[in-house]
Amino acid sequence: MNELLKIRGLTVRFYTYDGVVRALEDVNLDINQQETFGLVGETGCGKTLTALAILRLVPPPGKIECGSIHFYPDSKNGPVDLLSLSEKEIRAIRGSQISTVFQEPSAALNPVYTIGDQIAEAILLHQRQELNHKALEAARMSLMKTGLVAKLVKPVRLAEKNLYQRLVHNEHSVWSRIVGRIPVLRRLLWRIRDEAGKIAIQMLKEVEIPDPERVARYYPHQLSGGMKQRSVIAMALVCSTRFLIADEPTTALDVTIQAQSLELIRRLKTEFESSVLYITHDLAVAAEICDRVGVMYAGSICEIARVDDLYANPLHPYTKALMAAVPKPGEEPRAIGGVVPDPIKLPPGCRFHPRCDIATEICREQSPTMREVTPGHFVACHICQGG
Amino acid sequence: MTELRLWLHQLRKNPLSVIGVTLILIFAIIAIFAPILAPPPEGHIDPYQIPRDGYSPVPQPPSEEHILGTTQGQYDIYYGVIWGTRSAFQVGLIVMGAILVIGIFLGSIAGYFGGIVDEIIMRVTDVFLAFPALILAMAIVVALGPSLNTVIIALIIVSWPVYARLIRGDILATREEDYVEAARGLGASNFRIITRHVLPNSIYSALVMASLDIGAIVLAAAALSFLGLGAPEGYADWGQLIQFSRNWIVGIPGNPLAYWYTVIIPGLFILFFVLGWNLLGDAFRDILDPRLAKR
Repeated sequence: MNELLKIRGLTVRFYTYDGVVRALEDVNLDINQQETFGLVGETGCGKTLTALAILRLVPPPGKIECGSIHFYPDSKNGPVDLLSLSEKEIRAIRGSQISTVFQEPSAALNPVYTIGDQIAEAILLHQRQELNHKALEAARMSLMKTGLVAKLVKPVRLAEKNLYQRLVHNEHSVWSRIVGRIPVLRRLLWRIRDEAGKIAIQMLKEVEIPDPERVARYYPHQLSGGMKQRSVIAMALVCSTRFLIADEPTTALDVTIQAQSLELIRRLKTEFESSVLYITHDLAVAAEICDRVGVMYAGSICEIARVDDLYANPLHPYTKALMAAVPKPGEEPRAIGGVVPDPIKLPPGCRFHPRCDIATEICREQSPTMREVTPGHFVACHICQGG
Repeated sequence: MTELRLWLHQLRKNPLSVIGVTLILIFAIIAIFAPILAPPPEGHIDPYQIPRDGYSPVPQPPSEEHILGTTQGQYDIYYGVIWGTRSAFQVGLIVMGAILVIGIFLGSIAGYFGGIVDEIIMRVTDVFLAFPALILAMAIVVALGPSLNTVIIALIIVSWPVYARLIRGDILATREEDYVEAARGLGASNFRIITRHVLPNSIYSALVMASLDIGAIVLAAAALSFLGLGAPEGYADWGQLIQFSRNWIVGIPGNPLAYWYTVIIPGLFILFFVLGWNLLGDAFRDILDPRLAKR
């Protein structure tokens, strides 16, 4: 399978007053094309931070120390290292090539804009040229109209057509900048917004929102949680994204809506031929939707395997403990002993050794490296063996 | 169109805001139609200069010729208050507009980027806020030479720091919202995030305060005029008219209300103007908040 994203040695640290927080340490991760990769782990283990690092959105005082994130935007060209791009280049990738769905759908929508406007914004940001063409086409169409009114407004329409022609001809000309930036003149470009609005409605239909024309005119507070989540997904996918990062998208939803959302993401993923990085703390959800799963603990990945392999045959003691901790009917859930280590004072050696039942001398001294125990099943542990 | 109807509906629900809107509309009409309501006499060069009828220092009561009487120096009070409405709007709107532009610009830079930029801008506002506003305004007017323009400049200089701070505080809260992060994840630039996502969500308190403050600014300008630090003598300005009446407020022995018209009439204009803006501020709050709308 072709690779889409290759993370190597990603290290993120936060320089706080209390000391250096080693939030991510030497994270290695591969995501293939058209694959759903699950990232599971406890709260605060660095799942979300990994996602933010991919988009280069690590909040200060955090810093990406070292590592590389190679992204393969299409099959023809070679990879780009997201960490060495300029701010402008990474902005062009955010939202068009890689986009995100955040955990809390009601917080991820701006309360002062309608749903349609917010979805249209993504299109306006990334597909300006396509929109220019469409707007020009629409302007030409309206020129062809006959009748008295059409005759009267013909000069206006002609000027409009010329304006769009200019924009199509040279997207970044001085003229387009002037018109695009000045609030009153921006109204002249209403056809572009119109076209973006049409695409937004199309996209709302795509995410199975009933009566999309109406919902597009709604403000976020007028929608239910499930509808908001669908709108957020629509916003993320509207630029035919190649790589979707879903950061606990179903956590805030109730179980029936959760199932619908999972189904939706799965269907859209196939339809748009994109890959998904699915972050969750819910092992059941991960088992449901993912092809491969990585387990994270205290800022590093301890096990990566195909989903059936991982659930049938967990190797790392942390993965085993995590699965044992899932409540099952008729059984007492078993909590993992000890506490998550303080990220400022991480234990030496393997990060899990203070809570591990099978830890030995070497675990306290050396930090384990990732080994492939069986094909496609990686584990970072000194003790456990494959098979 | 539906938006407009909704606004009107919101307005109607609060009778006080209707009063505010009505007051301001009346004043706006007075200001716009000042040349018709109080036509300048022929040969008059500057319409803002109140025409005078003689040089007697004693005010004259309302008569057919001067329907609201004349004040000290025989300046026509009716002409003064009508054209003074224009001055009041000029001072209020120009000062508020400038303050908002400066406040929004500096406040959003400070709040959004934080760090050293924030530190510098906020310490500058501290310096300005350390002085009593009216005293500082007086000092500036005296330094620059009294005129209506210097009053405007002085009021801008003393009032912008409050707005820069207010907006900065709101932006600090808004920039942490998830939808700002989401916009960043969508590939929006800093400029776009500030103008489209952060400001629209953090500007309400500033706008409401602005409409409340226009009244206060006109009041401050009137106070400066009253102290003799405003427009030149004879310029149509409410503060100036009250200053003219300073010696006549107490009337004459046995008849304290003898010259009531010199102080009551410009006083009422100021009172209703300020009241109108204050009530309008409440109306703005009801209208502008999209979370309150459509319920």
